[in-house]
Amino acid sequence: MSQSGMNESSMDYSKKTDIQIEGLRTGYDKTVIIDNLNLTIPRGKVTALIGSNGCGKSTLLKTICRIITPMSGTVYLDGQDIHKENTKVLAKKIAILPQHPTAPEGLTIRELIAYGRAPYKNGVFTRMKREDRDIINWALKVTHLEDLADRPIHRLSGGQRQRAWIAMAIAQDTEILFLDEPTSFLDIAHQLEVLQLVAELNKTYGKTIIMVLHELNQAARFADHIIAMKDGSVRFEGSPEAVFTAEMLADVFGITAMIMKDPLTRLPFCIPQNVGGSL
Amino acid sequence: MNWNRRPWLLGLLLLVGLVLLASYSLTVGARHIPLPTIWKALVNYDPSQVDELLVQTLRVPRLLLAVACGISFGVAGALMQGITNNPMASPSIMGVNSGAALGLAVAMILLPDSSLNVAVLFAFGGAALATVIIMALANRNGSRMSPVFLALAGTAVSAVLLAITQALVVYFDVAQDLSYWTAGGISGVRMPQVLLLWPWTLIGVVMAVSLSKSVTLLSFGEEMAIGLGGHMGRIRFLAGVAVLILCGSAVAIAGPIGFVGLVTPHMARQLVGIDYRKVIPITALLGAILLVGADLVARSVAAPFEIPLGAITALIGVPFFLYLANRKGAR
Repeated sequence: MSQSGMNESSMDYSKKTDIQIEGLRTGYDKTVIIDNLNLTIPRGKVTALIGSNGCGKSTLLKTICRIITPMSGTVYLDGQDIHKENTKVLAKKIAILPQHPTAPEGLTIRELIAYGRAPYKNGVFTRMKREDRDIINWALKVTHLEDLADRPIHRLSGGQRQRAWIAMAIAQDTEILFLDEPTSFLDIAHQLEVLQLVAELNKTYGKTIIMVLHELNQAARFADHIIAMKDGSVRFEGSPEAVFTAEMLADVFGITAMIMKDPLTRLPFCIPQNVGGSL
Repeated sequence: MNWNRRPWLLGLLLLVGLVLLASYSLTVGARHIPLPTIWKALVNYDPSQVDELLVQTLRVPRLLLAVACGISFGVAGALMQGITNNPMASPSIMGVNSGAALGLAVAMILLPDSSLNVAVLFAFGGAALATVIIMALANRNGSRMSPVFLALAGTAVSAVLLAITQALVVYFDVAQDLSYWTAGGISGVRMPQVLLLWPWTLIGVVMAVSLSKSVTLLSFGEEMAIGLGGHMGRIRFLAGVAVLILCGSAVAIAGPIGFVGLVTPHMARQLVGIDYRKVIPITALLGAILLVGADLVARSVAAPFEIPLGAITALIGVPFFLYLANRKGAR
């Protein structure tokens, strides 16, 4: 099954099937948050999970990328049950950027990114190869961090730090990238910067992106596929045009809103009006 | 100087420092024994010479014990701080040493004539009990406890285990055997005990070094570590086993010497950064130096009387603990 050879560093990720989720039941400890969920997540696209706080979108993301083991049900990646596959093999297919990664003190950006190569090293004292260095340099370039490579992480701005974490994740050289609220706590310019980077990773390098987003209009603009969740189940899914309706906003978020079309991108966006009620 | 890029050089310097300190330590005691005599006792032992007899039967075993204990407590502390991602974790604060002490007390009561080997196994059992309790507390609800809260929980567990130990000791009247020992005193040690300890120390260190890469990944948080291919259940289990091998065996021979495992990993991280492949060997060397030094102080401050080793390490460790507890983010 394993198509990812040890040295698969090319960016060709063709012939992959979509991620299939069947009968998923998951949550924390004994609390069931999501029950009997069936879902398909398209490969090669940017997918955004949206929904109000506590709807289970983060739980779903963490279960799909194996941080949480489900109570029952299966997540299939290329026909293989993700929760039964070797975690190190998966680390060459899936990279995860959690919501609150901790940065050990004193690490520079380059050192941080180098840890993204961990899944490719077998021994405890395996040295870095030329290929590892090339990919680290590539990750620095894509995230525009070349000039800051030797700066300690704790001396970076919020936006730079988030780019550094993304650089670490892409140094893992995986086809799929999971991002849990990559824009939270960033100001608007840095939010855009991160999302444009995400778009570039998808368009230029063909990566599949699955992310939790809070800002609805950003989801509409940057995602190809939107999954809107409420109370642990998927209420709406599809393209931004199909999902962005007054009905969805009323059901999922309990708000009334005007839906407009962005004159430049031709993508939908919403202007929230009221909580509950009607227009 | 940035030791991060020259861990081998730092390791070599520390090793030289340890050898010098150890050599000096061998000369100090009720009788001053000059270095040439010590050297002769080591390479060409003549038991009829009193000085050489002293070196071989008392001073060398004691030195080797201090080195082994320093390595054991230091490396165990580094592992515990790494897998709990908590700078205040250490064998004494988290109750592992007290657990081992309880195990040993039980062994003395149930099997008073048992060999030291059996006692060590009981100490493993006690250390395992404490480790399981603390790990269960630390991983409860999958949420991370704040460093100070975990330290408090550990101290509470430790106090309970020590109280049970004391009660058992008094009730079954084995107090005399245990009182000096529980203070962390190593004066009565002989070669057979030391030879029993070292294999466990080496096993523990080899396990710790082979886990070091995974432990480093945990410093990015558990979710990141899983994403990078870390096998969390296995890492926690093996690290726990390594900790109880290291602490259980060292406590069984030398008593619960505290704070070595708290202080030395911090010093090592200051010197070589967060990579546990470097932190663990450097911590081992620092632990050995610290305990050989502490033993030297313990023997010479109030000679001919001896201060228990645990008292010396507490003198260094307690202020350091308070400093850590007051740092930003500890609560």
